[in-house]
Amino acid sequence: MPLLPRLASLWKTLFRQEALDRELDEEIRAALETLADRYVAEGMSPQAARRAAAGAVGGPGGIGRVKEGVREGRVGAGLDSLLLDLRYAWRGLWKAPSLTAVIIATLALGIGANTAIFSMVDALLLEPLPYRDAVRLVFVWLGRTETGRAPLSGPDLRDLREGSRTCAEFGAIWATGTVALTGHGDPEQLRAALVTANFFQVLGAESALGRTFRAEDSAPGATPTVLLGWDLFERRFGADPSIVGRQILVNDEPTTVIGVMPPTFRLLLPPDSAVPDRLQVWQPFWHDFEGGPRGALFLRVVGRMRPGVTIAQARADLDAIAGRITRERDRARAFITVALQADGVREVRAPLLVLFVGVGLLLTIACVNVASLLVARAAARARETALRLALGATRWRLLRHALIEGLFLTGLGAAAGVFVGHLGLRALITLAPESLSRIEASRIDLTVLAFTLVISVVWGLLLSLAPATELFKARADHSLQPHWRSTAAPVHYRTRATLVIVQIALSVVLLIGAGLLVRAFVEVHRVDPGFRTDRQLTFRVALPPAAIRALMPFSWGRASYSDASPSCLA
Amino acid sequence: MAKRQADIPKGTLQLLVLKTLTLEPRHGVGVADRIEQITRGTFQVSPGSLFPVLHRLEQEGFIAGEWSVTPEGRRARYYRMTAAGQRQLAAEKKHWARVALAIGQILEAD
Repeated sequence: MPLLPRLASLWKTLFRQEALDRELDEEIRAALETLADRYVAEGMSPQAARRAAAGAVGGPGGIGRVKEGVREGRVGAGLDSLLLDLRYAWRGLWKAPSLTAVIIATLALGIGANTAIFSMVDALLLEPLPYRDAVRLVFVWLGRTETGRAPLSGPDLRDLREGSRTCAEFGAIWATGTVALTGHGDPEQLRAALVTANFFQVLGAESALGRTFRAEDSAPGATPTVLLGWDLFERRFGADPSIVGRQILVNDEPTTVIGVMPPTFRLLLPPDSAVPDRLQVWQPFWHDFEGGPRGALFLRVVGRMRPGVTIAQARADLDAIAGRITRERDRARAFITVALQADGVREVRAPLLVLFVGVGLLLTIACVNVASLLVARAAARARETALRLALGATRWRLLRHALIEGLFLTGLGAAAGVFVGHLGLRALITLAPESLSRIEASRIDLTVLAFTLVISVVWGLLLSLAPATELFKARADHSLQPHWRSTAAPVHYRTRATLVIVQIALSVVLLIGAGLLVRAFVEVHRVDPGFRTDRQLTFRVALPPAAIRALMPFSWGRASYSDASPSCLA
Repeated sequence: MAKRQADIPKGTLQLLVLKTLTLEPRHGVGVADRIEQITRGTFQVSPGSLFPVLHRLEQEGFIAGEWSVTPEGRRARYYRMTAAGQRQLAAEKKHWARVALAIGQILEAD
């Protein structure tokens, strides 16, 4: 079927309707006149001829029916009536601006809350970590009866590397605290970590400039090297790529910059691993770090499973290694092997899902609220509905109109909701605890928009069905009678009563939930730590090793600091 | 009026309209006349029932309408076959032949 003429016709149907109708009128008039001429020539009176012509052209349904037939046959005729419904819906909403505003605001809050929380659910629970094949990454803890879980020691890592069949490689990191950067501008403390040479390869993270570490960087006698984070590179070194290969002073030691990590690189390890995600510099471990005592627990170990290995297989493999260590070295060892992805959100998963259900309930309440408003309006419009039915509108047509109106409203509500969600999300991100920094990755992306669209359409349909149930009860005749109220009212009350009951029930559930949450929060704050926490300061001073050695002979205990700071009593 | 009058089988009116327009452009009444004339009155169509078909065919680009003057001096909308219409007619003729053959086979079967 030729596409171009159809498109042209669609255009005409939608936007040149009057011209098309005028031409049709003219064509039919011409046909009538041609036939009338003919009948007159056959000997009829002009009047009888006109009547006969009208009968011949119109057929049993009359001329009006013929025109209707032509209109219905036009390309895009269904769409045309859809536009009409949309226009009608728009006019209906515009006529009651305050009601419309209330409905849209209600929907915007409900949809906005869901959009914001879902973008967090998406970022924290659904999106894979930003590493190559992140599902294959595992995090290994040492299981300890007294403290739960702890980092590994050097010999543990060596045993894993030598003994594991399921993991191709293990890397480790130790956030040591800070190092001092001096020599070039103001001295500065940088958040630093030591890593195994293969650490970045295990994660599958590449440097933006230069390279990451190689085995020779950890070799005995190797020149000290450092890898910079992007923020530091940009702020301190003016984003000058020639810094790679030059030497800077780290803890007073000339250290060669070997590369810069990209701005998007984040270290998303479990919050209790005590590895901050915004490290500024990385340095390689000293060469025999694996040889230390088994009691020195400092290595946060990430492993990469071989392709096709499941987390359960990796766990069994590592448990076997732990068993071997326990037997051979007479030292009880147990490893806790967890998927890096799941362990990072271990603590927030449940609260986040509860929150998600909570905002879902909130949206349900909002929509039930809107539905009862719409039902109330449908009751007020009962006369109009009855009139339309009496004039020959089909129930399907009225239902479609109700659906379009509902979808139109939720569409506007969703648009406003995305905006509300955006603001809400920004507020949530500022309020988020530091350990939950991955939350900053949550944004309203296509996945989130698709989610918003789906909930809006589903709720839009449900919303419009509430007043539509009234449609199927309405009868063309009785609502036009003067006493229609007495017959129609009980019907409306029943639907509205149901909606109110649902609304109150859900509100009570949410209120109780929120109340319990607040109570738990208050209780936590009431816990007595056993000492006075008011008017107490804590602080730490980090100095380069050489400076500490220089300071040690002097008293650097409490007394000297309280001398220096008269506002502190002790 | 003819005694052997019959209803036009559903869905074939479009085919008949296209066929009448192969030789020359006609207006609505002219198409109705022509169908009646060829079938010697077996099929009678009111111009009214033709208008929806003519307009649909025009919208799909199979025929093109333009205003002209009849021999009697009246203005009328004449419809002319387009190239796409020729192809459509050929396709529909083939389809109809298959349907007619199939129905014939059913009726001939024992």
